[in-house]
Formats: sequence, C-alpha cells, structure tokens
Amino acid sequence: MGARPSKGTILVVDDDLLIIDMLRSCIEDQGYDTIIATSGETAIARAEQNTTDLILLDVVMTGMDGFEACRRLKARKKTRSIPVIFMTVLADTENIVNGFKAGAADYVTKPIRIPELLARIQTQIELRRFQAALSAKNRKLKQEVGKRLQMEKQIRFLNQELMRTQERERHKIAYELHEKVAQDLVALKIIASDIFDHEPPLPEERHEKTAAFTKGLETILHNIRTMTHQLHPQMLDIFGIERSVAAYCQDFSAQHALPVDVDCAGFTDRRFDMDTEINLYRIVQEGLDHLVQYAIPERAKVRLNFDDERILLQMENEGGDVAFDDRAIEITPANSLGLRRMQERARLLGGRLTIETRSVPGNRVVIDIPVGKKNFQEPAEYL
Amino acid sequence: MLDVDRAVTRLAGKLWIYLRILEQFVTDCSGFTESMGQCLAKQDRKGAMRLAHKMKGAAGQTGAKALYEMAPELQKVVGTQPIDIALEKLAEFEKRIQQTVAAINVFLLSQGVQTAPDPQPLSEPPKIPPDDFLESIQHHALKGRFSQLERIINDLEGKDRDFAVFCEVIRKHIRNYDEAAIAAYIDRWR
Repeated sequence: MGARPSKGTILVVDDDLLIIDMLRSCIEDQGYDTIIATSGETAIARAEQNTTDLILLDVVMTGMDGFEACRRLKARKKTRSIPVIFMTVLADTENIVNGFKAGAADYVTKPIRIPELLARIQTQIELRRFQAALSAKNRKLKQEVGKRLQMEKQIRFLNQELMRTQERERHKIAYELHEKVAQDLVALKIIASDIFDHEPPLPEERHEKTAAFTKGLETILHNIRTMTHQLHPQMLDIFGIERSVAAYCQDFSAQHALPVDVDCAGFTDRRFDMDTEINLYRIVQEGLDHLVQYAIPERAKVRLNFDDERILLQMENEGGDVAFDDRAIEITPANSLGLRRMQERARLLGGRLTIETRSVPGNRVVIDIPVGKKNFQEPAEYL
Repeated sequence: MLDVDRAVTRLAGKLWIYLRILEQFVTDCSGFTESMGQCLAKQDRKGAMRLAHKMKGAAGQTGAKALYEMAPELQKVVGTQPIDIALEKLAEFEKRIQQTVAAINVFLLSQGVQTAPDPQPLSEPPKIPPDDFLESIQHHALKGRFSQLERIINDLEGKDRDFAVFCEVIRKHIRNYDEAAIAAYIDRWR
C-alpha cells in the first residue's frame, strides 16, 4: 500500500526530547510530516531549508528563546508567512501577549492537550492555504488588470491615431473641395453669367430657368464653402488658434442666440503645430455643442490662455443645468460622447480635462495642456 | 503520584504514545539531579531554573503530579536562595523523582514494557552503507528530517543485517535529535 499523502510539514521546535517525541508521534499519526529543531537558532535554519507549513515553537529554550526566534522568522522574507504556534508552561497574560507581539498566530499551554493542538494546527494550515490561494488569485487579477490597462492604452493610442487621421482626411477633402470643386464651380458661374448676360433678352420662361440655374450654382458654392469650413477651418491654417476660436465663438453665438464671452490671452499670434491647434479648436466646438445640448444656458464663457508652459482652456455656462458631468463619462458613456471626445483630445495633446463645480448654477470644464518645444513647430503641412 | 488517565486523555487516548514518553521521562529523570547539581555548583542559576522549568513541562505532560506540583517551588529556590538551601530542596525533589520513577516502572511493567537497561557500548560496524546512502542520511539529518531518516535506516537494516550496528548508532543519535553527531559519524566513514 502506498504512503498516504502528507497533510503538510510541521517544524517542531523544543529543547525537551520528551515533548519532541510526543509531538512527533501525535502529529505524524495525523498524516503530517515533521522537521525537528532543538534550539531557536536551528529552527530558523530549518525553516529556511525546508518547505514548512507551520511551526510549533517552545518559548523557554537554552540559547535563543522562542519569542526571539519568532521575531527573526517574521523578519525573513522566506519564513514570515509561516504561522507560528507557541507552546509553553508560561500561561500568564503578559507572556501570551508577548507571544502575539512577536508574531505568533496562536498559543497553547503545557501540558499540551493534543486534540486541541491538532485542531489549532489544522485551522492554521487551512488558513494559510486559503491565504496562499487568495494571493495567487490576487496575482492573477493584477496580471489581468495589467493586461487590460495595456489594452486600454493601445485602444487609446489607436483612438488618437484615428482622430489624427480623421483630421488629416478632413483637411484633404476640404482642400479638394475648395481648390478643385469650388474653383470649377466659380468658373462655371462666370461662364454662365457671360452666356446669360450677353445673349439677347430671353423669353420670360427661359429667363426664370437661367436665374434658377445661377442661384442653384451659388447655393452649391455656399454649401461647399460651409462644408469645407466644417471639415477643416481654413482660418486656422492662416491665422492660428486665437483668432479662429474667437471667430468660431462669434459665429456660434449668432447661430444659437447665445451670448458667448471669449477671452484669449498670451498668444500674441503664436503658432502651434497642427495637432495642437486643430484639437484645441475641436474641443471648443465640441464643448459649446455639449453645453447647448445638455445645459440650455443663459450665457457661455470661453477662456483660452497661454503662458509659455501650458495652454489653459476653460469653458463654462452661466445658468441652466450642469453641462459637464464627469460621472456621465463612466455611467452613461453613450450620452457623454462629446465629453469623452474632448477628454481624448486633451490626452492626445498630453494634457488633462477636469470638471469643476461652482456655487452658481452651471459648471466649468478645464483643459490643461502642457506645451513643449515640439508644440512650437510650424503648422504641419497635411497635404 | 501518576495521573495516567488525565495524561492519556491529553494525548487523545493514544496509550502507545504515552508509554513512549514515559520511557523518555524515566531517562530524563535519571540525569536530572546530577545536571541540576552541576548548575548549582557553577552558580548557573539561570541554567538551574531552566532545568526546573523543563521538568515542570515534562512532568505535566506525563501526569507526574507530585513532580509537576513541586517543580515551580524548586525553580524558585534554585533561582533565589543560597546554595545550601537549594541543594536541600534538590535532595527533597530527588526523593520525589525516585518515587515517581518507581510508580512509572510499575505502570510500564503492567503494560508489558520493560524499561531498557543502560545501553552497552556499540562495537565497530562490520559493514558501512555505500556513499550515496551516507550522503542521503547526512542530508536529511542536517535538515532536521528525523522521521525520514528513521525510514532510511529501517530500510537499510531490512536489506542487510550487517548494517545493524551502523543503524543502531544512527538510531541512538536520532533519539537525541542530534544532527551534528549523525553528521560527524557519517564523516568517519566517507
């Protein structure tokens, strides 16, 4: 018949051979393996040499006493997690407290009652196994979290690359529309004017049709210019962020009948790279849209400041509801797409978006972008 | 003098373990008075107190009631009183030891256990196990794995009776949990 599997390994430490004999017999009879040490010093060495699940430690021994041995075991990385049960004749409270202070998991008094000791041993060994299992799960969980964070980082990177590519494509399409389609339409309009203006007067019915044709051409041209502007504000390439934001806010104010106070400071026509300029501009666009959609405010404020080290963009509403709710990002992602995109754009520029509550109705979103040497490049040529 | 019932109950009713520790207790008792006398002669009060403390633990575990009750008193006297008073107390304690050992021997005899006579010195072993065995024995001894060591020795003896003397020496050191003596004995043959 094969040997039964061990229930664990117990290090028995006592300088009394009678006690060791007794414990060895009782413990091994219950299916545990034993290791023996007859002094505190040897106990520390044994615990480091062997895989030990529990230590039964006598307190009063020749040389190093049990309390000191326990303190040393608890100070060593390899042995600190091994539960220690003290065994001693010293049954007074002070000694028991000293034992626990030294790091004991439990305490039994001599004469030892074996059934009680075995129950305590089993409890401690099971507890240690549960702790080990829990630690293993924690380690696994940490790995999972690490993986997820890495994936989130990758997703964020891809998202930012997507936004960059989107802006490049918008710029490209805007350029094509402006430089080719719109120019061709302008040429067509001039030709049409020439044809219609130099011909003898047309019959009334034909005249109305040609007028409708010309008006149609003008409408298409207007729409193309609007589309071009929406795809990529040409003004940004020419005048930079400060004037483009001011102009956009003015247009927005007129379009939504909402007073928008704009305050830009510190730029003195300073130009930034295309990533910085277009994303700041988009944040203003998305912020104002979000504000109108969720707050129905009486007034809006946009402040854009530059101080050589950072660009600070603040947008707030006066009156109306809370426009920027950071909980919405986590709770209702679908309803906070604008805020999310603003946050992503801030991250893309290496900055952060925070939301501040105020005592008056409404709240404020602050985008803080650190500015380095790379941001001062000439505007990037996308085409 | 001897509270067998309570002692066996503490051992979860395992009489065979009780008989084993009683034998060990008899051995410990035989050297107690001499060891204590040596400590007192050297004015080693701490050592003397430690011996009395240890006696209390062993007496309690074996159910040697009289010794268990008297040990704290002895511990106090050898730690604090003049030597002549301490020696007087020790003599009194020795009487109790003799009475207790006598009671234990009666009990052991009733259980069919004969207390071992003083061991005879062992002769030189006629045969020494091969090097890998010696290495294994030393390895387990230095790691405190005495039970495993016992299994190896038993197997060895079962294979060849010529190893009996060698095994008996190792067994003697195992009984004392003396890994250094085992290692030294092994070194003699390597």
